[in-house]
Amino acid sequence: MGQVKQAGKSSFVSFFEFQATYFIIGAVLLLMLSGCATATRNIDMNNDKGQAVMGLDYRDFQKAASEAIKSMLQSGALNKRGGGRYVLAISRIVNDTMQRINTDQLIKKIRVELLQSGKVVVTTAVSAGEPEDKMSMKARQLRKSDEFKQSTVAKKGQMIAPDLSLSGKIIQRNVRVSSGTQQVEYYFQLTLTDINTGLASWEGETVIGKRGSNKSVAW
Amino acid sequence: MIKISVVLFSMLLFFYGSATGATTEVITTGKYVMGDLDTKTKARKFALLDAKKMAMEKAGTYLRSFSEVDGLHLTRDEVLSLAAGTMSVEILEEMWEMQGQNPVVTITIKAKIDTSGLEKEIEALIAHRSKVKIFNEREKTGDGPDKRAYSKVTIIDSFLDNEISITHVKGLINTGGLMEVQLTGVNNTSSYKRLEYKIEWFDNNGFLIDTVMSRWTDFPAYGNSEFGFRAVAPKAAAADFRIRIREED
Repeated sequence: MGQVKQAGKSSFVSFFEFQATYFIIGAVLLLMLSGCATATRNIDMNNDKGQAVMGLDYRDFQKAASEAIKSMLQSGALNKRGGGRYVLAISRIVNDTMQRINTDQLIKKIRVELLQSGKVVVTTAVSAGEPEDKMSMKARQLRKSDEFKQSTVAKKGQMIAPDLSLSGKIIQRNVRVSSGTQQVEYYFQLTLTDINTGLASWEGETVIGKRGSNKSVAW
Repeated sequence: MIKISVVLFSMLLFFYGSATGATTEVITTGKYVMGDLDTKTKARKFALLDAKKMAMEKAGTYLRSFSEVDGLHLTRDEVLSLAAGTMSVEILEEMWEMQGQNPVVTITIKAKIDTSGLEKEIEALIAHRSKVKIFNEREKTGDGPDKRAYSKVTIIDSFLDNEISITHVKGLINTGGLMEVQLTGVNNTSSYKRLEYKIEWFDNNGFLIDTVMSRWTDFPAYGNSEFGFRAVAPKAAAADFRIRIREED
């Protein structure tokens, strides 16, 4: 009896030792794994001290957009004679970089600011390619439909043609600085054209340069 | 707050004249060598002033001591100029001659100097300068009736505050009806600094105008040089602004 009891006590202790060992190993592994992972956090957009990247990030688009807007507003190119607002159409913005960029990341900011400045109204019915909003033209096809109350359908000759056109290009140039360092230059070039005359009334360029490791990929 | 403090120096010329109001008569000669860009009128003026200053010294005009108000830059030279302006002068002789390739004008005067009102004049000058300084300080801190432009600028880092100084902040409405602001300052250190500014715009009701242009924007401040930047409001409704400056990390 005593032996059995002894044996029972011994197996009870070793079971706990076994459990504790696994628990410790598991805890250590968990700690190691959690130490490796970068915790996700929201970016403070108003004071982002995050490391710069070789590619283009939102800070670069913000910089390019704000400099373009500032330059346009200061130039007086948006001051319409006799007051009022210019109608602006967005033409082609060419992405000549190695990155996949939606050029609206740049243009939308400029459009919003110009619209809010009270100097410009942007048309979405006309564009160099497809109109941004096809509905303006589509809704006019309802003129033939008996299903729609014709007095509510857009009338002919109501659309406003653009006075100005905004076009541009984003260019990337990679320069090898040394065996381990590269330099990437981004050029944001924008042109405001008076559609009536075809003359550029404003042009601006913002250059953003980055220098870093060759291992960083800029596309 | 004005720091009236430093007694710079006491003029210890103590001849026979004094601040008791005695009138002294002296004869002195002033001289001015004309440079390439000088005019005859200007040369004559300087020669006369030189003669007057010498008359002050020669007369032993003694300004027992005067306090220089810190920051108001009242100098001995200015005091002499002031004194020279209060004397009555008779020009005895004016002579033009060539000294090498430069014309030289020499003016001899007889000066009657009464120092009785001189100290009051100096006190008045100091008081006037104090007023100017108070006005400038108020403008800086925003207490004054002026546009209070300086109060709209905040240098975030107190360490940086000691290294740079803002010299001018100007706001105006441009032809497009938008407010434009120009700030200039000086980097008082010898090292190049990359600074950032952020300007926020407010409408007539004091509401913040949300704009992508209110972002930290870098600008250079070269050592021992002036720096500056210009900003434009995003819309005509902007009636006020606030600028923050910091050093880029």
